[in-house]
Amino acid sequence: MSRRWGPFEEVQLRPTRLGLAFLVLIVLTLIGCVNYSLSLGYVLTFLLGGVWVVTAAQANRAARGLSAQLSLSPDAQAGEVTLRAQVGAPTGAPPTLAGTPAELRVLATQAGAQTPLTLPLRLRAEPQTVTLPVPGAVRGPLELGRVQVVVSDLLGLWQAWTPQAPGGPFLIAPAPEQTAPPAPTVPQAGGGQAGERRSPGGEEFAGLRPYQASDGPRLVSWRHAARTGALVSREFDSPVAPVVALDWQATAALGDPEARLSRLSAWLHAARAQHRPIRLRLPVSGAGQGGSGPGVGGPELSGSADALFVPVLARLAAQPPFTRPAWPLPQPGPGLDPGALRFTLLALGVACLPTALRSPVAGLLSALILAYVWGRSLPRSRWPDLGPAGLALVTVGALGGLYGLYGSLLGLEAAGAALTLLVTFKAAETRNRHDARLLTLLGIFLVCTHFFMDQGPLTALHSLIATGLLLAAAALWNHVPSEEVAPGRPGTPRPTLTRQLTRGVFGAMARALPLAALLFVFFPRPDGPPWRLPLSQNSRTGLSETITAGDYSRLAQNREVAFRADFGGALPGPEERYWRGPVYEDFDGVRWNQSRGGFFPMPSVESLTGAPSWTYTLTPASAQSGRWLLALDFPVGRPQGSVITPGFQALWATARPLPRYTLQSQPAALGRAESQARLQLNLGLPPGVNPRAVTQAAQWRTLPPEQRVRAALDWISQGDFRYTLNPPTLPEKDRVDAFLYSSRQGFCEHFSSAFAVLMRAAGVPARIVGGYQGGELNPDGGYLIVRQSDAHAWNEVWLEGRGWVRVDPTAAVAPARIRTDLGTALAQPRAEAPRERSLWQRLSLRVDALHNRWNTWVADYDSGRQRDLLAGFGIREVGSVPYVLALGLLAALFILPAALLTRRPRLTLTDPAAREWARLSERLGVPRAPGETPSAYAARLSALRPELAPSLRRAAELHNRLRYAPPGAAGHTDRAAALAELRALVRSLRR
Amino acid sequence: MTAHLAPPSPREGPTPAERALHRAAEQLDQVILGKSHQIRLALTCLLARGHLLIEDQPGVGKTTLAQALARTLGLGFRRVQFTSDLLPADLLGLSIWDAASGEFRYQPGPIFSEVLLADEINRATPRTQGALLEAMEERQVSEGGVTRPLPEPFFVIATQNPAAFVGTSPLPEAQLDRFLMTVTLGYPDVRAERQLLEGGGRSQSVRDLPAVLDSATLLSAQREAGAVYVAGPLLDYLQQLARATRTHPALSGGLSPRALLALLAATRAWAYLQGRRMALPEDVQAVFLALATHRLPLRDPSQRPESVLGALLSETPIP
Repeated sequence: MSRRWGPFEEVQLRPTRLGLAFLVLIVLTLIGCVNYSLSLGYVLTFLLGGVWVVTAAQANRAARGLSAQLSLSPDAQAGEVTLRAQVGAPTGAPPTLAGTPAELRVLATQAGAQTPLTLPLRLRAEPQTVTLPVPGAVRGPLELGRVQVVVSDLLGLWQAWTPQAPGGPFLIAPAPEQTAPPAPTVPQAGGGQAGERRSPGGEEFAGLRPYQASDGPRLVSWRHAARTGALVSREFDSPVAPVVALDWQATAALGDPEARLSRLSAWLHAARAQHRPIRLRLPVSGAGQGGSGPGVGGPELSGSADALFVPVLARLAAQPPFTRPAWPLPQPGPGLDPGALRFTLLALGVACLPTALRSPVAGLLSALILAYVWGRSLPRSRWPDLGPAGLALVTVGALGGLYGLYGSLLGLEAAGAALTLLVTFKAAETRNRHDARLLTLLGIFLVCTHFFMDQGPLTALHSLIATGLLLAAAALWNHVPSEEVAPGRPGTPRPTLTRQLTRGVFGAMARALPLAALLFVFFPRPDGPPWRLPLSQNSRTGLSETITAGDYSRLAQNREVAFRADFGGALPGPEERYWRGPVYEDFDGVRWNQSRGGFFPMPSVESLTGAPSWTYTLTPASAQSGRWLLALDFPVGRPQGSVITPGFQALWATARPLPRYTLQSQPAALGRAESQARLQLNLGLPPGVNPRAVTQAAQWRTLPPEQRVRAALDWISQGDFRYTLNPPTLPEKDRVDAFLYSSRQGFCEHFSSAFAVLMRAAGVPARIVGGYQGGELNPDGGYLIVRQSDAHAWNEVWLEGRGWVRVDPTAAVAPARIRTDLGTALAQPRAEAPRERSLWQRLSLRVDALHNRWNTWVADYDSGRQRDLLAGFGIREVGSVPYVLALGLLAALFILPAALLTRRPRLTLTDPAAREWARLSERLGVPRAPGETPSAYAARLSALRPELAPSLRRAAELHNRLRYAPPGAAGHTDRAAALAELRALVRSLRR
Repeated sequence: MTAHLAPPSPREGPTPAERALHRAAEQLDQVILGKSHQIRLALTCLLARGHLLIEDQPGVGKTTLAQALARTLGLGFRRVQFTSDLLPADLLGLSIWDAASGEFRYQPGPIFSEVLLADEINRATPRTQGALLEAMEERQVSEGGVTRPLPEPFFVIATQNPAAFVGTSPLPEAQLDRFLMTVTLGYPDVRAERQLLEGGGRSQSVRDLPAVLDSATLLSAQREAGAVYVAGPLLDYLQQLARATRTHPALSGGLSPRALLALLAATRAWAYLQGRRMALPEDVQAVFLALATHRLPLRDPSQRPESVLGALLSETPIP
């Protein structure tokens, strides 16, 4: 008898194959996240990790107190053996776990050969009895080892079981031979039934016959003699019973012991059917064959077949020797469940959505494939089966198409599209349950890859929903196979089941959230990637290396956010917001280039004492924003990995710019000591180009340099120039002349270019600086949004004694461009204040504030942010002792509630006396057996702890009185007093 | 003696019937040595108005127990040795033509006694067994168109020897159900056996036993036992036990509602015998085996019912 109610069962827990695959997925995505600093990827990975932990707790809880007891009918015959298993209800599972799929597993052993037996079942709140067929069982003892009721969690990632006592050994009787000859019988008087052949003697009166000399006086019928005078004797007889001889020797002709036992069994069955007596003779097992098996007694047994049927069968079953052929192989599992497949396809479709939006071709192809699989899963589907070869052909074709489209399969978008296609092809190639469950994991991987493209809140939401649906699909697959089992019990309707499972999955994800958040904050974030994929190259927008006509006006039509700048307080005025980018010094007549070749020494930089200093954090909207750190003049504090060129450009020297960086700027006198070579470069004009402009500028050469600048600006501001985004196209030859003297319409690049030419012609070193100017203050977040449309080009001139001085000719034409924004400047170039913001603009500002916060805390959470956050808690370094301590503490905080939740829930005792009694056994530390009465428990403990005997006896008495006495017998006050006394007694007891 | 209609308070002293029963139990302990539990089970059975089946080997004191019980309780006692040729009329009595009065005169059989010892009950034909069991259940005898009630109290102690089954008609389960309890006496322990050997034959002393009770006292004791209070949680326990027997893998059937009622009555009687006016879980456990063994057939005949049911008892939680 196994212990079914042990109070401290040990639950064993192990991941399933799917669980291991899930773990691999987690590790893979984690590596990906580390490598590419995908912050959202971390979120999802840690969420999956949390789910992995939560499901483990779930499985563990479901397995608590599960019990199984196997029994076998004593007349079980070889060939059709069915075990009965009494499966107890789990004690630790909440009622919601009822219906959770479980599996009864048994290792059957016969004659040294083993085979695993499994039976899918469902947990129920009450004990249940199930039947477990043992296919291919042969005669002889059947041992059942490793009896387990294995429970999986919702998703099937874990299996948990409580070890059970082995069953058996059970005896399996030989199957009766079908074509057995009639059994040999031997006559035996007395045992037969009325109506059979009779033999003289016995007890029943048969008739009268004349007296014979040998008849005793008791046989004489004296009544007859008195009436007739003749001596007559009574005659007795009894029915003769043919005794069925179950004789081992009589079957010697068969040879094979199994066949001989089969025949004996057939004879036994026949004897029982005819209610005949039997006599069994079996050989005593030989000395070489070990002792007799269970149930083998003496060699001979005789009696009625009805009474002896079971014992004789047992002897036949236990007759050595035992042999058995190999066990039959287990049957393959059921095919794909179409409903679950369709749900999986739906979840996959949701997972593919972002790819479809980004790459319509791949999206269309994927949708076609999913629709094909969907169509094939419908009942009475006529869709053709492509087969593996056809599928491979289509796959190669589709991938070839993608290659043609993107020119490569290695780029980010192309790889994403290809992966989506491959996953959908895997859906078409799904043949069994295992494939289907793996497919859901592939889908989750696909969801993770979307983070390469975007890490916004919408992507995060999508990934949560898609992951939840895919996990629900996995849960559905976990539930599906046992649906056909448990016949006679209507299964849960599919929509209800799906809904339940989806709710369960999202619940598990919610429970996994604390752990995920903890890991997200504390998991060490490495700074650099070990390796990279070639990411996309041609989708860059932003500043360029050269300025040609139209570059900036094209850029200015782009409303995309270039970067956000957070000053954390006061902002510099609009006139100071020049975000400095590339410096163009080399003019070839048409194009302005950055200076190439030639080494220039670093010019002097002298800080202006008393000038205000700004500290601000820039967050470029996309990682591909170029090599420039867009600093205000002059960046005295820069992040690691950046350099300052002699042209005062702040550049990234590393291959991987930081996604966020903090700069400190302070106005300074730049380049008072500048090299002659550089000044010469900044005076250079190609000869013979723009003659009118050169001639005009030459007139100003007589003035001091500062006056020349002033004169040129005045000339431009009074020259009826128009600031426009759509200037007429100018000829390449003498372009500046054409602008200055005929079209007079232009954008910043036109003005700065013309101004630089004028200055150089007037003998003042001048150059063009590109970058951004201005930025929109978001009142919601207190930060500046700088868009591509804020791209701007301005000039710097070198003046003796002052160094490089910023001059913005555009401001001379449209001061509103500097003071307000581009939109206002284009409409009213001289406006003082920006136009009123529309409702739409205000709304979009609010959304942008949310986006900025999201970026700050989720998408761009990196090692720097982590350091800042941890520093707030006094933890300097990731990996330091305080860090490990804090991590351990927080993990304990998380695990504690989980452990408390998964603790075996106490019986809900409503009766106060019963509760006190439960507390008593808890305080003493000696658990009570389920069927142990309070008095018996008190007696048992008194033997262990004699000093407690009086208290225990009294407590038991009080408990009994409180619980079992008639209510009228003791008044309310008595009851209260008794309860108080019991309570005091329980408090006084210690272990 | 009047019966208590309201449940008696536990603080009242023992009633005369209770005191007499206590003395009776002590006297029986003197006669049948070392079988205190079985004696009390027999008394419980009597108090619960049930009948007792003693299953045991010959010579362990079955008859002595029955005789001593009858004499101690001051009841009329008759013994019938069941054989294969015993007819129902031999047991129930029959109407005989009385030539003098010119009418049938009913000659009552041995069943019209307060304690009937039916020895070797499985030796009789099913027909005779059926007649006895019917009378036990109905507590009346119908013969020749007249129904005659049996005396009150009426208590049948049947014995059978489970080992010798050749030529017997074992009682079917339905009829076994008529017996409230099955008691196995078993061999006495060493000390009791030695005492027995030193004290001489028991039958001698049985004949000289004084009557401690009379039938009126016994009837009032029966009424008092029936009034023992059974609390709600204990009824829960009874139901749980019944459910456990119904789902137990080693048992082919569970306790019937009638058996559950019998268990309730026996629990009350046992509690009463312990001098309590409220039943406790230990009362249920004390009578459970005696009550359930013959009612619950085992699937596997090689297992012992005591061990299976004992395990069931220790595994079923007490609510």
